[in-house]
Parts: sequence; C-alpha cells; structure tokens
Amino acid sequence: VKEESPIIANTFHHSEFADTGKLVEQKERQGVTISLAFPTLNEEATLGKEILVLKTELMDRFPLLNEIAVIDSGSTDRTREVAADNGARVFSSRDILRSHGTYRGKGENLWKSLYVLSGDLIVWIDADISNIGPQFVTGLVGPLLRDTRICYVKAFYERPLRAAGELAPSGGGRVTEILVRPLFSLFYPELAYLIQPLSGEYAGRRSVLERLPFSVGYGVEIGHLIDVYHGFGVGALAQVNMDSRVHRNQSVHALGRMAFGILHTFFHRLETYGGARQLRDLGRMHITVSAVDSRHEVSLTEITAEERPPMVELEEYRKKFGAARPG
Amino acid sequence: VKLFEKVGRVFSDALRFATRRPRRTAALRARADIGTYVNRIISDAVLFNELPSPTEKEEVRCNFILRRLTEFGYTEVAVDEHGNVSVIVPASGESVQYVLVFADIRCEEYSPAESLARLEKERVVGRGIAENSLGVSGLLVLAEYLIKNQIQLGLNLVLLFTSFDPGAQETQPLEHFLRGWAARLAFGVNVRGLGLGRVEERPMGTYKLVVTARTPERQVLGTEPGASAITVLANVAHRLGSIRWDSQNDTFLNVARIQAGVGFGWYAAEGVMELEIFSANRDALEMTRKAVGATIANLAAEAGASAEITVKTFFPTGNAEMNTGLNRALQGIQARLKIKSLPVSLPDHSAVLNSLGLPAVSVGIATGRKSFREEYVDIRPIEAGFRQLFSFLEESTRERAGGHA
Repeated sequence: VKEESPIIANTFHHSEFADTGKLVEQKERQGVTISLAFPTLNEEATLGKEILVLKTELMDRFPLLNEIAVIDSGSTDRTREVAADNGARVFSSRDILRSHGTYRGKGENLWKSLYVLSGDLIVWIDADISNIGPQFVTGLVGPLLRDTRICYVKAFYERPLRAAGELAPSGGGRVTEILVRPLFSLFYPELAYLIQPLSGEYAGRRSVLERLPFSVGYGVEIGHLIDVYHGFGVGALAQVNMDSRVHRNQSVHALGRMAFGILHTFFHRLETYGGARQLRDLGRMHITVSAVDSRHEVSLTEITAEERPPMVELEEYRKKFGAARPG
Repeated sequence: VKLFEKVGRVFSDALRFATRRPRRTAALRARADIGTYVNRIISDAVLFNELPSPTEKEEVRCNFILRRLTEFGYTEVAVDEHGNVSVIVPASGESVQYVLVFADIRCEEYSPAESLARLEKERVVGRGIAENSLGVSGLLVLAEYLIKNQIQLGLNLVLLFTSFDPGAQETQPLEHFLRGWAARLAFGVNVRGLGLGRVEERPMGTYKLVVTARTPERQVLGTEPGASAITVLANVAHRLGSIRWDSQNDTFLNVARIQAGVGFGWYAAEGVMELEIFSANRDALEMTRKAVGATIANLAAEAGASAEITVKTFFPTGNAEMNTGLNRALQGIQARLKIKSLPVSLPDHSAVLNSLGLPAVSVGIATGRKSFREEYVDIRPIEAGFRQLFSFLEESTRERAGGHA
C-alpha cells in the first residue's frame, strides 16, 4: 500500500548536506547560530572522540557550530574531564537553574541545555556513538537551514551492534518496533512514518523547542514528536538517514524500563490532546521478576514521570533570551 | 573552451600560492601555529580509518581524499585510472623539479569493528590507525597547512595518495604513477604514521610468505602412519632457521607465526606458517626466496604433505648510498627538534623510487605500536612529527633549489 506522508516527503540522506561550506554560507546568510550539546552520564569511552572530530571538522575547519557543550548528569568516570580536555563547555545539570531543582535523566539534561546554550538551532547527539562523523551534525542541521518550514529533525540509521570484535545487525530498535510503532499506528498514524522515532540524535529550532514540555526521562523523544505534531503540524518534522550508527547493546531489562517511561509519556499526551482518557493513576514502579535458581527475584524500579514545563514559561529564560511568554 | 578551463584551473592553484605575502614570513608565521593542526591530523586519521579497505581501486578512500583536497581549496586534483590521487603545490621560484610526497591509503587489516578508533587520554587506538591512517592524514593535513598558510617551498611538490597491494603480482599504482613523473622528480618522501625518529639507513628488501601445509586426516589413536601439519611446519621452521643465506650475512629469515590444528583426537591436517625474508641485497633476496620455496617443497614431500606458498608482502631492496644525503638532512632536523634518531633497517615503499635512480626516505610522524593484539599511536609526539615533516621538506627543497640555481 502506498501512502503519501509529509514525513516521507521530508526524508533525506545525510549526503545531501555533505557540502559543509555551503551549510556555513546558508547559516551566515540566515544570520543564525548553531549549538551542539551532548547529554552525558559516564561516557568517557566515546565522548572524547566525538568532541574532537566534530569540533575539528565543524568549528575549526568550517565554522558551522558556534559552540559544543556537555550537560552531565553526575558522571562518576572521567566524562567531564575528557569533554573539557577536548574543548567542550562542560555543565553539571544540577548547577543549571538550581532554583528549579534537578532530576536525573536525559530529558532533564536536554531541557536545561536550552538555558545554557546560545544557538538558534540546537543539535543533540548521544555520547555513545562509536562511528562518529560530521554527518551526524550536518545531516541534522541541513534540512533546518534549507527549509524554514522544517522545525524538528530526527536521525535514523542501521544500528549494528558491536560485540566480540564484530559488528552484527541488530534488526532495528526493539522498543520502536514492538512498542512505539504499534502505538503510533493506533493513535498517530502520520508519525508511524518515522523510521527511528526514538533515535537519540535530533535537532530543532529554539523557537519551537522552548515551547515544548520535556519529559525528564525516557519519554522525552516521543513527547517531543507528539507535541511538535500537535503544535506545528506533521510537516514541521523531518528525518535524515545517517547510514549507520554503531552503539552498545542494551539489556532487555534496560529496554523494559525505557518502554515503561515511554508509555507514561504517551498516555499523558493522549490525555492532554484528548486522544484517550485515563480512568486511574498510572503506576510509578517498573516491576521485573526473574528466576534465580529455585527462587524468584522481584525488583521494583522507580521511573520518573516528571515533566518540565516549556522553557519559555520560565522568567529567567525569558529574561536571558528576550523571549515572549506563550500566548 | 575545455582547454582554457583546464589551463585556468591550473593557474588558479598556482595563483593561490603566488599572490601572497613573502613566503618566509608566511612560513615563519605558520610554524608558530603548527600545533593547532594536530587535532586535524587525529580527526582525519579517525575518520579515514573507518572507511573500508581494500576495495576496488580504493574508491571510497580516494573519494574522502578528493573531497578533503577540494575543501582545502585545491582546484586541480588529479585522479588516475589506477586509483592515484595527486595534487601539485607549486614552488616559490621557477623550479621545474618536483618532490614526490606520498602515503599508502590501503589497509590490509581493516576491520569494521576494530578499525573504529578509540580516543584515550594519551593515544588513539584502532586497527589500521598507526601503520596506515595516520600517515594519510599527516599528508592530507600537510596539504591543508601549505594552502591555508600560503606556503611555497623551494621545489614543486606532488602530494600523492597511492595504494600498495602487498601481494600483487602486477604493477603497483605508484609504479604506474612514476612512469609519467620519474624524469621530473628530485627525490621522494614516504609519509608514515609510525616510525618517528627512524632513519632507514639500510632499506631492506622483504618478502613475507605464507606457507600452507596439508597432510592426510588421521586420528591420534588410529593406526595409519604419517606426519601432522604441526610436525611438518615445525620441521620446516627448524631447517630454515639453521641455514646461513649469504656469505656477507646480509640476508635474514624469520619465522613470524605458526598456526595449526583441527581439534582434540585428531592430528592437525592443515597449518599455516608466515615467514619473512630480509635482505639488503636484491639478488640475494630473490635467490633466498627461491631457495626457501624449494626447501619447503622438498621437506613437505618427504613428509607426505603438500605445501602451498603465497607472497603476502613484497618490498624491493633500497639503495642506502643513494639516500645518504636525505638521511643526513633528516637526522639534522631530528637533532634540532630533539627527536631521538634511530637508525634502522626496515622494509620501505620508498625503495621503489630507488629502483628508478631516485633518492627517497620514509618519514614517520608518531610513535606507537602495532602488534597482533592492538595498534595505537601516541598523541603527544604528533606535533613534533608533523613539524619534522614540514621542516624536512622546507630545508631539503631549499637546498636543492639553491644547488640548481
């Protein structure tokens, strides 16, 4: 079955934006600035290479990026030292907007990054990419610089797993295929055209991002997609093929916690936008049971379902960036 | 019209270098910030190392280089049908002579997982990074450094990215390139990743041979007589090790690796041995290779086994005398930059130029290690290595240009 979708029309390959010099020209002509941020928690193994390559390529050789920053959740390894050694600005998440408290989670880091970054376009990249290259940035900012109607760009890719010295195909994101795509197909079929809605690499316009609420945990990506869809239309979304992203494998338990957080955010959005009505409060604990010898081990993990308000609702933010309170 | 366009592009590259401030000022200014190029060398090495190799004419790697050179501002980048990518950096004066500065872009040991480099505090780790990719990125960044800082040297430079198929029986891309260029070259420089401080005083010709021995399959508790592949290869290694290969003791044989076996309960029916033959004498090298082949065939036949010999790598023998002047210049620069000189006898691609009557040296830009288990380069010495490469080219071309004037 062939279906037309604005997302398919806004699907690109990173090679379409490989001419970095041209992107710099577009950026300068439009008078915009671009910030790159890495949300981190114990990423010393891959972060240094990511920063060195992207800074060398996209700041020293081509002035595409105005800044590179790391927003750290309290790493206990050398993540912050590695980032600073390689020339990134390093922030501790808890030190940003201290009066608003702190949560531990990727979404929290992304939300707080809006306050410390200066760019008009914001790029977020996960810090565990083994095969980093400039395409992870140029591919994401390319559509934003080319088409002003596009506001939010997601990466997609093959995701081979690095195990035992080999790269093996992973068969795509498991949480995406088993959970998110069925949910989208049921409630938001237009968004089911996103190939990897949960990818950790995306970019957006500050003017849009500052108006989005942020789930502090695993639900940040799905929340953004639904909010952009409702607030700015499906045509504001784009996706870019990055070919391949080599990453660490995650355990089924970790994926289960992720799915729990995503469901929380999804149900919350259904309620917000009138897609469904919740008749009872959702549980806060993710429960797993495993068989250990002749016993059963039960483990309860609290997954935060907190949401941060749109950044533009904060007075400090409006003062710093001269933004207007949402109407 | 096409001819005019081409001529225009050639002049454009020449003009880019020619319409500048006096070159010595540019060179002095540039030398001061040479350290800022170290991250570019590492970054390009990391990105280049992830590109698959070997491939047909190394197309993917050539495209990376082509794109880079174009981004730097070179408008006349040549790519030939053998996969050689080259660019010319014109001399400051009227010189008609060229210096060939080249690097090998092919990596026999590329692995999709192990060639994804890892950046540590003091080193860059990854299969192919030291022996292969760092030399390529060093040459690429040299191209960038020259054009960005508007530096012209005493002689014209041809920067060449070529590939060596170590087991190829046919002519190498470098040899194809040299057919058109040898008459215009003053000397050659092979840029390598590893080997900072090494001075190839006796460039040895080298064969790396792979010997595959096969014997009939036999159970340990069976009654049939015969040798196992392990016995055959061990016997070959023992016999070859006891032979003196020439009267001057200029030829050496090394058993680098033996691997054999099938499983418990069975004698090994197949085994592989890797041998290296080194010689400073071209004739002795060839003679030894033939003698080694005959010895292996005889010993295998005596044991009722078969043996197949393939050439894994070949480096021709260089001419030490021809390279003396360049080696002295290199050692002088190393002394000035406080890089410890280490005279060595190693196989080297630059020997190909010697065979055409051209002096040539290899210049390593970093220290590090390549072993069976890991490969890495040390980050700290790269700055000195890059400075050494630039100074060597600057001084040796100035000297030659002066000599010709």
